[in-house]
Amino acid sequence: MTSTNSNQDKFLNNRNPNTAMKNKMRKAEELNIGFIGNPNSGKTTLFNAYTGAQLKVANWPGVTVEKKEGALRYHNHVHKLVDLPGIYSLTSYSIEEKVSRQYILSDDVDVIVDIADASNLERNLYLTLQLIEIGKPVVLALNMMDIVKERGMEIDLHRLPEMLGIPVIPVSARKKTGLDILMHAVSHHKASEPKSNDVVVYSELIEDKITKIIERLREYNPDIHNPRFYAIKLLENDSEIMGNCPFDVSDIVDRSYETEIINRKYDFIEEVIEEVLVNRQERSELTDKIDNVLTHRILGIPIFLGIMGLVFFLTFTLGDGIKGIFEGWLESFSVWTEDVLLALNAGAILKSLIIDGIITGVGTILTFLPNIAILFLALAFLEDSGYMARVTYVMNGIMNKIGLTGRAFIPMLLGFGCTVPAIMATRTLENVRDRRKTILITPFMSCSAKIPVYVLLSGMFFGKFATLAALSMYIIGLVSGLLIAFAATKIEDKADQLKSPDEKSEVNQLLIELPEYKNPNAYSILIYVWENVKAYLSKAGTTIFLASVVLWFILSFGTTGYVEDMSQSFGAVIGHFLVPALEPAGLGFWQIGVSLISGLAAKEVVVSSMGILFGITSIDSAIGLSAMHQTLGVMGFGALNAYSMMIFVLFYTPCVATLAVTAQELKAAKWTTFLLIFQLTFAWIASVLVYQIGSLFI
Amino acid sequence: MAKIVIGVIIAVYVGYLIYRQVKNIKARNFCGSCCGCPSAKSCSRKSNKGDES
Repeated sequence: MTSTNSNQDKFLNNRNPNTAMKNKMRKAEELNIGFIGNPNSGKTTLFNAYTGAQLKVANWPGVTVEKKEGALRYHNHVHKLVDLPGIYSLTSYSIEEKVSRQYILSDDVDVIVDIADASNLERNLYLTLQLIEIGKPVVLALNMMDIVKERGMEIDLHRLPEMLGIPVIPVSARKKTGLDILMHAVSHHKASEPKSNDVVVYSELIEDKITKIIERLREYNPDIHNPRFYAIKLLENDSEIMGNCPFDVSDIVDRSYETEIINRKYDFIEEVIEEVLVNRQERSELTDKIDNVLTHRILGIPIFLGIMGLVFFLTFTLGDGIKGIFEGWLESFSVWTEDVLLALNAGAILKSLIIDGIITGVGTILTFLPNIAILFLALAFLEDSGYMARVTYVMNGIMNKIGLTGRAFIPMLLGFGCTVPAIMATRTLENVRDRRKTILITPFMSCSAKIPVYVLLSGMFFGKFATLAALSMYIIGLVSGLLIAFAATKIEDKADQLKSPDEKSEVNQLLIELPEYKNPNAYSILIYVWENVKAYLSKAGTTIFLASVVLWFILSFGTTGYVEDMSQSFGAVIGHFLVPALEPAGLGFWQIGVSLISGLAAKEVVVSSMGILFGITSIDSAIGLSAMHQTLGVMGFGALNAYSMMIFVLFYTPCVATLAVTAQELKAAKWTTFLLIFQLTFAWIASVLVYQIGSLFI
Repeated sequence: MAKIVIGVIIAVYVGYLIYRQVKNIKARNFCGSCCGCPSAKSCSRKSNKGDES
């Protein structure tokens, strides 16, 4: 069977007897509940509240890009909850809209819980009306009722369900109120479908066409469950539904009726709002006042740069203050382990593996935990407050100038945490070219794994300017990323000149919801920080552990077997091979070559490998820094070399995982290969320029 | 005896880590061992793969 046939079958046999029987059997045991709603309406917060999961939530739209499942036991019944990406309508344009629509239309969902931001009811009801048209059981959860009350607004909770024909339950996902009643309503509503799925009545002409299409659909498949939804979508000329329609409807659908259908829905929403909403107030005054400053046409960008500067300043300075405690623990643990191994009369190789390989490699990374925790604490605060969405808006002008939509700035911001989810976040971009360009420049944002490298090298060579040197990496990365995107757009424009007007790319306009500012929720922030700290610890115990052992092995063994002198090891051979290429960048030392290669496993390994290479356990302590500074100084590695190395680390491939996820997202080996070559070449050219130009002055 | 046990534990753990990496690569579950990703918990890549197939 071809995929088209399969889609056509799905289109009309969505309730075939076999599936229905299977579902009936399944329903006896469990209930599948789909959480759907507009972006940033609090779906994931509600999902977490029910399932006890700790999925990422943030106060900006587009956090969830894939559906996530969880289970809930309610009155001895197992309910499967599915959190879907936020969407504004059931029209499939972007990936998240497609994911949500496909799932909602499938037989997998028994009850739809439409989570609406009650403080923005007008906007949220559009999706609600489309969901009602599907004809499945829908329960409307009015979230953020606390905000409605705070603003002195009131919603008539008797009239609203009357007008919509579905149960309406007020909840507050953040304060965990109304959750039991919502689940109670879902359980009782599972068998009942909306009283009527023609809540919105269209013009006579459209209703007549809907009737004709429904007749034809029923002729083709008498069991079709939701013909009205498909009929409306056909009249809207929905490309996916039209493409999968197994018969010709051109005699009925003579043109697109999308505008009329949308307008009628909004007219109905207006009627609903008029009747149910008392003291209507669109946005809080406080949000408007703050936005007047933070999204100011001129001040917006300097304020953003100032805030991010402060975030990284705190990461480096405050984190360094706490780090001493960790260094003390590491030192004590190292001494204790050495004593134990001595008492056990352990051989030189085992002792070297544990002390020089594992403790030095893994321990070094653990001392940077305070820096990482503070970075994520600050980012969590910005996300939860609602500022991150503003950044997209503030940067939209610049992003448009370089040929990207402001939405592309979200993955770039996420890139300051970890490049892997940042690349996955590019799925929210509709345009393939936008995705490619954003994936190209996102790795240039300094991820948290690069922090240890910056802290180590800047602390060692730049004294009181250490923080400034580290901060410059963020600015250089951001500016370079923007310039590269601009250059890529220019190249595309030239290529477009050779194409027909239809093939030319165009910049998508930014359509983003600016959420209300909120007091950051302590619980959400703690979960966010804990998740990242845990991931860091897990990485230290797995990837970095393995990399440290492998590194210790190649640095402790050579052609003659176990070697005391690392310069005789396999590692030295590999490092020496790279020396000629790294020489022009001031990095022509075999040890640096080895640490840069090992950094491909994870950027933190650059630092742990330096600890192993130079035999310094507590590399980040004052004594460790001084010892390494001295060793590097003897080699002829100075401040300029260190800055050149920081530049190389900033630009070259963040890690193998990033490359793999890029391949997976782009589904094109040539683009991934190009990206790898581009990153390595760009890193090399940039560090050569820094070193060569710097050499003229120093 | 104790030093042999320590050596074996390290060897087994390293073996396990290598096995996991290889398994992930074979499953094309690149990102990855997930341990390096802050979104590991929120990522349902595995279950989605099942859906896609």
